[in-house]
Amino acid sequence: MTRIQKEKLFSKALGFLTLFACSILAFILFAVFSRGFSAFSWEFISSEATDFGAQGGILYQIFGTLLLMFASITICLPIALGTALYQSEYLKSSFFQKAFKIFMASLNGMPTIVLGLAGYLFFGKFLGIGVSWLTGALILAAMILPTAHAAILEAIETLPEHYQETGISLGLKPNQRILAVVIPHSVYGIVTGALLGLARAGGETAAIMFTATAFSGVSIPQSITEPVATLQTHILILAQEATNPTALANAWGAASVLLGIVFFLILGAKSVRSRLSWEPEQ
Amino acid sequence: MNENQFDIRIENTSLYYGSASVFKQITHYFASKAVTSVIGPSGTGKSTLLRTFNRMNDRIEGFRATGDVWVGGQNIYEEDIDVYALRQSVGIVFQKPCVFPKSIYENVIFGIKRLQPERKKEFADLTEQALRKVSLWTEVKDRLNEPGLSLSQGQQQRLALARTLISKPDILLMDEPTSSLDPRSARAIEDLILSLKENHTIVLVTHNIGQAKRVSDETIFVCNGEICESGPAEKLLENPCCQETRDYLNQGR
Repeated sequence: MTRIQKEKLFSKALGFLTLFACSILAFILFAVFSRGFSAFSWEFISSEATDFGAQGGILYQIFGTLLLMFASITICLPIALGTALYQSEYLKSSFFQKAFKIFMASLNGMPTIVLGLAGYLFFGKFLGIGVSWLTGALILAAMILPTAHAAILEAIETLPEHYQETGISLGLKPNQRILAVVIPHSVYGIVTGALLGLARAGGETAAIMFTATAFSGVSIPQSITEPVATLQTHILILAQEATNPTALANAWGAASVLLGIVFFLILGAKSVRSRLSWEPEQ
Repeated sequence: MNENQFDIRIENTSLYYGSASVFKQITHYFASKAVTSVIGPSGTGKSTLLRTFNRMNDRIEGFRATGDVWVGGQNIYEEDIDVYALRQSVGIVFQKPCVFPKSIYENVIFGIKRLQPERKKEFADLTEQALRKVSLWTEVKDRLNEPGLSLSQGQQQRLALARTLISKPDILLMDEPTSSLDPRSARAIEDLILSLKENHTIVLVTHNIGQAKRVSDETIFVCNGEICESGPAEKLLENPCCQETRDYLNQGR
């Protein structure tokens, strides 16, 4: 085999692997949407579940998922922004910089079921909130913190240095510079971080299964100590009823809706990210 | 008001990055209300020296200055110095014009908007004054709300200068302010430098010998971590006494 042939074979093999990776996603999308299609209707997403989810729609499940997503990002975002700003603008010691990076990576790698159980011990038991949407939102906030933090930090660190220098040279104090230079020019990173965090929170099941959700008999929570129903747990329970075809169809329908929500957010994050390079480079 | 406000004096100053020294024990009194150009080969620390005068180097890990650096009557590396006030009285203009993706007006008031919010009512007047000083007023007065990035490079550099001048600094530092501009815009900046020296002490880092001749009163030549030679610009550039200076000046010919 000549060198050129080898090179061709090599690039073909890599191309095949790439195609394979893409086909995984295509397969999942096809499997979910083709099966969920029959259950999908306006009624399905606008009415509540009956007969333990085997009949009826998924209105409160959609509500619960969205509530957990947005509550968790609301809690997470100020923390993520604050830590990213502290790390990039105030933390001088490279030892602590490294230590903090390892800390965030460890939190990111934490199995979500462990995070759920530990979170329940602290928020549910120790603080006495119990099994509730707030407990779930707090756990999810901890879970998506590294994702949001990393996106924001990247945006801050790639901020053009001459912006920072100009801010400094005009005599702005660090807090003034953060408000005038850093935050306004990392806004896309902050939005990206929020959307990626939302998408992760929307897909999470294990961390909230026993800490924030109830399967049936819940609607819109009246207080912070009440659980919600979510799409994720709904799918999990319905999928176990393999003998009931309507229940299964509803599970696929709910999965389609969940995928739709998460996909929408990831696409949003990507389109915002591509606008990050909006400043004309000279 | 004291006359010291226009002073820059360095006495036995050494500058270091970590353990590497950039300048060793240099001493120089910069002429007040005049233009001093700093010339010398690339990588000899001209920018580092310039950025020492408003403590822009503080951000760089491992940077250290020893000896005395007197700027505007203060020994600026002493502990109780208000470095933020110092930077307002010592303006700097960089090589590449820095314009924020905001309107022309917002760019001019970028600093004072945060630093002197109580003077908000004067901002419009101050903006006009600053833009007049940099001869940009007639060009932009009807489009102050248009994006600053819509201006040409030369106009952007004058805008950056206006943003610095609006807080009325006594000292102006210029780090190769024309090296990214076309010759015509560069001349406009040079004319500005000449008009500004009446009320400002200006230190100009430049690689352009012609520019140093045209605008500076004094010149210092730095090389190998030292000030090899300093003196009236004309004399130093036409008839240098030090061999290094002669070699450097001859390269360009």
